[in-house]
Amino acid sequence: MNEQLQKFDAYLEERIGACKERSEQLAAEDRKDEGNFEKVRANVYEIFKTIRSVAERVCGGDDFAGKRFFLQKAEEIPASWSASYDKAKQHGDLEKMHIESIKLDTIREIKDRYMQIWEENT
Amino acid sequence: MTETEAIRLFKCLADKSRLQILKSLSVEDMYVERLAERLGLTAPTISFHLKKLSDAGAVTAYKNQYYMMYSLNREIFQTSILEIVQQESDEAQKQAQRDAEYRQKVINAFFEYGKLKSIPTQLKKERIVLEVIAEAFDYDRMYSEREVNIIIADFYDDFCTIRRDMVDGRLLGRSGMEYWRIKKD
Repeated sequence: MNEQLQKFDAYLEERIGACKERSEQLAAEDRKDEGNFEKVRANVYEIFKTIRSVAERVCGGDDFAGKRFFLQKAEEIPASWSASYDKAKQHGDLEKMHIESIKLDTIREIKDRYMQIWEENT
Repeated sequence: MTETEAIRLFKCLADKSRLQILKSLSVEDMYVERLAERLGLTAPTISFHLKKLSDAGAVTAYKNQYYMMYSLNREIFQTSILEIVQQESDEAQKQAQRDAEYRQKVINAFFEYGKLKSIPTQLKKERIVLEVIAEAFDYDRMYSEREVNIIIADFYDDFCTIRRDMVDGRLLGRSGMEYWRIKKD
């Protein structure tokens, strides 16, 4: 595994840990709904941690192919979240809208971080 | 407030952030961004909580120039918990219906053409049977023991047992040789 991927994996691990810790802390403070939002965020990091490792397996040592694979999934997967957000908005379902926007914000952050790490090392 | 509304309100209040929002709104009406700044939460999170509070009837919203202002629904918080507890349950009607059906089933099983076939062994069933017999007595009237025995004998030959059980069960009152029908609480 190259340095970029190690750095990216470390970032995802750190974010997952932070979200889980925050979720437990919020639940202990009787802020269960906000705790659940942190779990949603953690799930998104988990999904893209899996995608990252699949990309490595599928593309072997080809870094550019791995990058293409990862960014393609980072576009495809959130498309259904955007659709779900729009549908929730139509029906005034604020809870669903909030959850979908958390997922969309998180994937935006993941993509930005991914690109940042990629550019730092090229 | 109905039972369902009370449950929804209590569930909604069992959250520290929502309680903080209500505390802020008890001071003055506020808009989302102001609450977000005050409580250190994001505006979407505040909106989420306000929607829950609004659905539970705890807050109301109104438009003020460019802002949607939120205010505490003081009326709902003036309801005491005792009032909520004493509110008749949505289940009460169903329970009453089930009780009436059970009662009729016992009456059908133990009475035949107005006569008691046997004294039920189960206390709950015996109570129903005794209540049916008690209906043959008028309120606000004194009965001699002989009158009581004659009335009971129309239902069942062993009038002594029935009379004694009706007195024990506080369906009939007794003073010396005089009896009267006790009113329900």
